Amino acid sequence: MRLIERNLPGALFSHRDPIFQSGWPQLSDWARNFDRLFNSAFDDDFFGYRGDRLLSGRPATDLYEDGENFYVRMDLPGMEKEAINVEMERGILTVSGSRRGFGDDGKEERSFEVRRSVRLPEAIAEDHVKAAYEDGVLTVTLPKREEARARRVMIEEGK
Amino acid sequence: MAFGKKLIPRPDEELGARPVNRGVTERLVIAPDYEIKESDDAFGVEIFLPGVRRDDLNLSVEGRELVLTAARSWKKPDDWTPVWSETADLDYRLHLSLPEGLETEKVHAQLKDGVLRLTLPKAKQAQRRKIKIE
Repeated sequence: MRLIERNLPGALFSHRDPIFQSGWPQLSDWARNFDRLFNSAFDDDFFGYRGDRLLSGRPATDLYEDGENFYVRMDLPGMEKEAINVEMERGILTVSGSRRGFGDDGKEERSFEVRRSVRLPEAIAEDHVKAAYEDGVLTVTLPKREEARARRVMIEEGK
Repeated sequence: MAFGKKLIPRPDEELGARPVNRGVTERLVIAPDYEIKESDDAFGVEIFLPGVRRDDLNLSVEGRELVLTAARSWKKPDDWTPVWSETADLDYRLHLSLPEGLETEKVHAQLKDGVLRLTLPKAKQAQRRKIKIE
């Protein structure tokens, strides 16, 4: 078997990764980003900067939150579940893994590494982080620590 | 490589490696990443479709045209606030023109962990044979 064509970009590791460098992007950034997404989502420049590296490099990542948790969803198609490492250390979530694929010469199979880190915004209950892999997408659920949650304050009854 | 280019499935120019149709009337689609490999008796196509389940995938071969359409089945729960997004909530679409000499009725497809693997067997007469030198 030899590789004859692929449309995947080659390996590209960049230190210019907004979700690591500047931490959990603020909502205002999100709004600006959304604008950018809309206007230039499909420019080469934008793709170069986005994490659309499936074979190697940075997997495409979406971040969400609700009152209780942060959520990190990462495209990792075709990985063995056992080959995915999810680590949490000092507020930084790192997902890494490898898969087999053909090198650019198309003749030899080699291992491709993916790795991406997300700097999380505030206190996470690190012991309760959960990860699930389904249909080639990894979902990491990171519960906010009690004090970081939006809480409803109970009003005590007067005596 | 020139030989390969002539023979192998190639994406439709219009639906190449990037999404097309920014227009209002037609829906935006995104061309998935893929890899085409060749062995002596078959072509192997790997198409990367993260988030796609079997029920969300349509695959058809008509004559020498292979058309794939798929959609991500996962939808964001209402109370999740998006903070950062790099994936597009668009349908995947890939259009491959197949070369001659394939047994299209024997195409085999398997979807696992967001990767579709297609095996397109070559017809017997199109296979490369090693000729024994006597």
